[in-house]
Amino acid sequence: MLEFLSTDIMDSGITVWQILISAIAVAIGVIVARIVRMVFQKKFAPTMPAHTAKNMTKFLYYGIIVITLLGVTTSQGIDLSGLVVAGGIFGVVIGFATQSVVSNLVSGIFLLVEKPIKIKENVEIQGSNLLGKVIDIGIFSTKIQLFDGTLVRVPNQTVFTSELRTFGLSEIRRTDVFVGISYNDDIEKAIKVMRNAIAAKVQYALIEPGPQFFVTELGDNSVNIKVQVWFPRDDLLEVVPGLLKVLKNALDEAGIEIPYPQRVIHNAK
Amino acid sequence: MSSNIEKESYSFYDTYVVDDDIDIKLPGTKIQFKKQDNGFSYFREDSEHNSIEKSIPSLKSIQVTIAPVLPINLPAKKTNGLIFLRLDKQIMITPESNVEISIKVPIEIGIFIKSELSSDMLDVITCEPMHSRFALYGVPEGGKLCMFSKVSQLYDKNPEPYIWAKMKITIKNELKQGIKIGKFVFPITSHKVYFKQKSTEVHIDDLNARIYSDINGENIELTKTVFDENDKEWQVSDAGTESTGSFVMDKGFD
Repeated sequence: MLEFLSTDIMDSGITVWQILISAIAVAIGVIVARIVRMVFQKKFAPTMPAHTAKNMTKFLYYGIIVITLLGVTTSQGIDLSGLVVAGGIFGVVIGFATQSVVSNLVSGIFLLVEKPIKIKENVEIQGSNLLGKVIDIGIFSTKIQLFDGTLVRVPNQTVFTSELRTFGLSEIRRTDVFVGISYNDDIEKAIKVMRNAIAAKVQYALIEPGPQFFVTELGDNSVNIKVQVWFPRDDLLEVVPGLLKVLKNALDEAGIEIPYPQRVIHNAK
Repeated sequence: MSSNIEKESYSFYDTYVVDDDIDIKLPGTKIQFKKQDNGFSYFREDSEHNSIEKSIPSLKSIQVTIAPVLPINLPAKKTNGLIFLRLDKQIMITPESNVEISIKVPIEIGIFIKSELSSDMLDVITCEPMHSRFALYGVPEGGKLCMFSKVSQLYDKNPEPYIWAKMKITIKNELKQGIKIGKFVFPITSHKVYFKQKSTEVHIDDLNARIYSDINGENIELTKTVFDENDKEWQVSDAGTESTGSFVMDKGFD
């Protein structure tokens, strides 16, 4: 038995005993990493921002395992110089092959350091035309749940190099809609009707700052009015889908016309 | 709505033992408890014709409490407890002076199911839908979202029941110039709501307002003061948080 344990594997200078000890040490390292991860998640993570806690957890877990592996190889006298040489030979090949992977990894690190977006925050990635909630920021990719329920995995490089639109800075947001009224109607009356309708019917529209109205264009067929309404940041669906309906109904009730496209034709005599 | 409230008779704030069908009347709101085979059903329709139904499985009678609560639940709880009271008329405070005013503060009405262990909110309603609105205190880039109500000063008259509570504000102007105040913004969740059984009278904890200036300009520091309940019939319906800190209106108050 002892002879078997001291057998040199393929004349490499590494014995079965060394491999066994290394395996046990790595197993202990993994168990320790899991315990540390569990303790961290219970004791410290709840007091941290979600994304920081998640990344710290990964860092601790994989950090302990890597340190264990390095410690084991060093203590057992396993020479990794061969691997380094092999790595050097294949480094260039691997570098070309994994160019995008490394790029995503580096972008992921920058995303974690700079924190332009946070988990559970709504974000619009303008280059990719994506709008949704950030579910996870991983080492290689960011997962975004769109508002139709689907999940999109976006490479970190795309996220990092795109223009990002986030909504977390302010507690409120604004939506702009356009309404056209007839040239025969009174603009002031139309604005008053729309202001009252928003106050009465759009529960999530802010009273202060209240809606604002701008005559933006004397168009071909109508006087066009821009209506700006502020609402609590997360309540887009409480305001935007019904806003034009409320405005149209109010204008209809007040006898203010929203004109169809029309042409005035003069007969030449 | 207020004139109708005075004319019609509505249910008082009270605890009702429900063992059969019962109607509770509040302004613009219809509430019904109906006895079913396996308990009770709850139906409510408000002045805007929004209705909800709930089921309360119970083998015996239930105790239902109707009580005023802080105006932070409708349409959704999302303002970190801040309320923005816009005064219908600005108040002019003369230099280095103390004044005491009373104002109306909006309330909501909670329907609670009471048991030996706890009192749990079944529903919450407002008799004035325009109180379930939001406003921002400050600029859009960094302001704070608040519940909003337009309020007026109270003189001798009592406020309309089921819609308003009374609150006293003691204002101290430390400046050497007069100041106009058009709004009060403060965390209402630190205030308690007081009411009397079989009554419609409601009061909430009072406020102290200190007007002062610092390097950033003029501010109002608002601190809660506990309502002086010299009458033992007052009960606390909404306990709020036990905060003793103050809130500084440093983003304007005109």
